[in-house]
Amino acid sequence: MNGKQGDCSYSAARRFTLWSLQRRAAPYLFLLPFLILFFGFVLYPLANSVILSFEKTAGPRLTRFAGLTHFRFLLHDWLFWVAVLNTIGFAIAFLCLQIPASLALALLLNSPLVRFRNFFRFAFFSSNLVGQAFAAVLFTLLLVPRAGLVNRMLGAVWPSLLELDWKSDPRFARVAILMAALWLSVGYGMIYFLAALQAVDQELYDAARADGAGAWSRFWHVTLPQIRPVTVFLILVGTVGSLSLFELPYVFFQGPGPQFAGLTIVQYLFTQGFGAGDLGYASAIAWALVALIGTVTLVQIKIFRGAGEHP
Amino acid sequence: MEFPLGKPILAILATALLSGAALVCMPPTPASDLTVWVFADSHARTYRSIRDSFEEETGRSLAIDDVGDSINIRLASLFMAGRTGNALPDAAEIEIGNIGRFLRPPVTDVGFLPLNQYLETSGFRTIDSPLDPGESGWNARCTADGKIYTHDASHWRLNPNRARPDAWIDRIIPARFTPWSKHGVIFGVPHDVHPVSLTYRDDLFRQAGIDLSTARTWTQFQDKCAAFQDYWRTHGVSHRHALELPASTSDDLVIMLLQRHVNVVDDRDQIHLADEKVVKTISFYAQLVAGARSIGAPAESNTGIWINQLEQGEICVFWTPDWRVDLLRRYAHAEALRGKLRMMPLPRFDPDDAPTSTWGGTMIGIPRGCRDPDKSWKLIEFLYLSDAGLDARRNEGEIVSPLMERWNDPICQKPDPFFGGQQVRKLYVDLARQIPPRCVTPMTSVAQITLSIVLGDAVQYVRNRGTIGLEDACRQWLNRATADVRRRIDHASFEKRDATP
Repeated sequence: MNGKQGDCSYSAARRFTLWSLQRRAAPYLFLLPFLILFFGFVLYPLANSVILSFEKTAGPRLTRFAGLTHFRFLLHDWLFWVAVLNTIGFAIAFLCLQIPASLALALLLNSPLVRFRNFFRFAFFSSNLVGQAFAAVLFTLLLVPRAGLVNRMLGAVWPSLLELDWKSDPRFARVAILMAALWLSVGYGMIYFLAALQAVDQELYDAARADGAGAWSRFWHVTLPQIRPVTVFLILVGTVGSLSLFELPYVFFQGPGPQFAGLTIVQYLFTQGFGAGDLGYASAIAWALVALIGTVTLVQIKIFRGAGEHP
Repeated sequence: MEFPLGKPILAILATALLSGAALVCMPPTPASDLTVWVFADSHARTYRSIRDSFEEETGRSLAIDDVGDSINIRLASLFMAGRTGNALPDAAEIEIGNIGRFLRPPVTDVGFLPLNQYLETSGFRTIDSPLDPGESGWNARCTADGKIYTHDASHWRLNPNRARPDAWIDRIIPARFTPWSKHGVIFGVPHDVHPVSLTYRDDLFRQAGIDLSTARTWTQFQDKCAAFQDYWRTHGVSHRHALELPASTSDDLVIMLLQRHVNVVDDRDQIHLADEKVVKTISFYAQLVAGARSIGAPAESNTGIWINQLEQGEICVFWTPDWRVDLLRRYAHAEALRGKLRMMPLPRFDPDDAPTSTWGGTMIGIPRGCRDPDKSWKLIEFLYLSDAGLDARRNEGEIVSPLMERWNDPICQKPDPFFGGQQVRKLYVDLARQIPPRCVTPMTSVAQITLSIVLGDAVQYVRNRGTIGLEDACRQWLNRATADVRRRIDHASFEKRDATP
C-alpha cells in the first residue's frame, strides 16, 4: 500500500516536473525555428558584412584588414554621392506624388457615386502584383522612341515628341523611372487609404455637417486627422522602399542610365559587389545606406511625434 | 464531422500534406557523372543535341543545366565559399561582360583552373602523309613516321626544329584567348569570335542613289549617311536615321576603340582613356550623334524592337556581330527584309585600324575545385572543339568558330539569299582573321562607365558649341577620367600593382 502510494506520488512528482519543464521550455522551443533562421540568415550575414566592410577580399582565403579605407574612399567617391543624390531625389519626388495620388484615388473609389468600384479598386491595385522588373520591361516598350505607346500619344499632340528618347536624356530618364514606380505603387497606397477611410466614424462627419462644415472642411478637419496613422505608415514604408530602389532602374537602363541618372545606392552597391567583385567596398556602401535609412526614418518619426501623434 | 478551424484551413493542410508526401515519394534525380552550367538557351539546346554522342563515346552521363543569368552570382558565391566537388559544376560558361569579377583574385586563386597545359598538350594536329592538304604555318605530326612537318604555303616540309605539332592553343585564334586570361594564364576556351560588321538597308540607300559599300573611312561613311538622311527628309520621311548609335552609352564607342586596337584598361591595369586615339574617336563619335551632321539614333536593345526599327526603315544601318545576324534571321519577317540587306566591313579611321571589332563572347572553364579536371577537359573538348560539337553549333546558327581550320568549311562560301546573294559567312571569316584582341579586367566596366560620362559631356558640347575646341575639351575630360579610374583601381586592387600609372 505504502509502496503503491510511493509510486503514485513519484509518478505525480515526475509528471509535475515534466509539466513544469515543458511549460518553461515550450516558449523557447516554439521560438527556436525562428531563432535558427534569424541567426543563420540575418544576424550572421549582418555581422559578416560589418567585418567585410573593414577588409579587402578576393576569395575565401584572401582577406586583408583594410581598416577604414573603404569608408574613407566612400567619402570622396563622387559616383557614390551621385547615387545618393539620385536616390534621395527619387524618394522625395516619389513620396510627394505617391501619397496624394493614392489618397485621391482612394477618395474617388470610396465615393458611392462611382459605379463598378470593386472592379476599379482591383484594376488600380493589380499593377502592384507584378514586380519591378516586369514594370521596367513594360515601360521600356511603352517609351520606345517612335514606336512606344506613350511616344505615339505624345507625338499625336506634339509631333517632335514622337522621337523623345527617354533613355538618353537624364531629365526624361528620371521621369520615366518615377512614372514606372508610381504605376506600381499608387494602387498599393490606395488600398491602405481605402481601409482607413472606411474606418472613419460616420458620426464625426454627421457632427461636422451639423456644425456647418463644407466638403473641404470635413476632409481637412475630419478625414485627414483620422487617416493620419495610415499616412505616416505609408510615408515610412515608401521612404524605406524608395531609398532601396534597385530593380526598376537596373532593368530599365541595363546600366547606370544617361549621365548616371538611373544610378541608385543599391545599384552602385550591386555593381561594386557583384560586378567588380569588391565585397568589402560593397559592404561599406551597404552600411552607409543603413545609416542613411536609419537617420531619415528617425527624423521622420521625430517629426510625426513632434506633431503630437505616435506613428 | 466538422474541422474546428474551418474548411479552407482543412483544404490548405490537406494540400500541404499531399504535396509533402509527393515530394518525399518522388524518386531522386540520378546524379550525373558530369555537369555543365550554361547561361544561354541556344547553347543548352546545342549541347543537348549532342549529349547522346558524348555519353556513348565516353560512357559518362552528362547534365546540361541552363542556369540563366544567375550563373555569375552562383559561381562567384561558390568560389568565394571555397566549395569543392559535387557542389561545383564540372564546367561552366561565362559571358564576356562578367568575366572581370572572376579575374579579381591573384592568378593562383582565380576560381577557374588554368588551362594552358591542357591547351598545349592536347588537340595535336596530325597528317597521314606529307601529301595531305594544309595551310601555311601549320605544324603537324605525320602518323606514318612520327615526325613533325611544317606547311610552307605549298608543301609539308620536315621540321626538326619544332618540338611538338600544333595543339589547341595554336589552332584557336590567339586574340580570343585574351579576354579569358590574366598575366598570360588562360582560364577559358573561347566559344566564338564575334566579328562585327555593318548591316544596312541597301534598298533604301539605293533609292537615295547611294552605294554605302564604297565607304572606306568613317568620314566617307558619315558623308554618305548624311546625304541619305537629307534625301529622305526632302522626300517627307523625317524619322529615317542612318546609323544605330546611342548618345548616352559607350558600348558602340568601345567597339570603335577596339577596332583601333585600344582597350580602355589593358591586362596590366594600364589605363588608355587619355590616349590620342581615344580623344579623336570620342570627338568624332560625338558629332555623329549630335549637331548638324548627326547620323546616329539610339536603337532599342530589345531584339523585337530593333529588328522592327530596321524593317520599318527607321534606323537603316546596324552593328552586326555574327550572333545578331542569327537573331535577325530568326525574328525578322523574312518577306519584309529578304534581299534588301547588305553587309559591309567597318569603315576605318586610319589605315592601321582593323576593318572589324568584336562584340560579346563566351568562354567555358573548369572550376578549380571540381571533381575531376581531366574529365571536365574531355567534356570541353567534346562540346567546343570536336567535329560533333562544332557541327552542331554551325547547324544552330551563324557563330564563327574560334578554331581557325573551320573557316575553310565550304559552307562559308555559300551565297546568302537573305543578304541578296552576298557571301555573308565568308565576310565574317575574313573579318575574324583580323579581329583585334579584347582585354577584360575587373575595372573594365568602371572605365567604360567613366567613358560614358565623357561621351555625354562631349555630346552636350557639340549641341551647345559645335565642334570647335571639342578635342581639347575631350582631352581634359579624359585626363580627369584617367585619374579617377586610376584611383579606383588602386583602391579596388587586391594585389600589389606592378604597373606604373
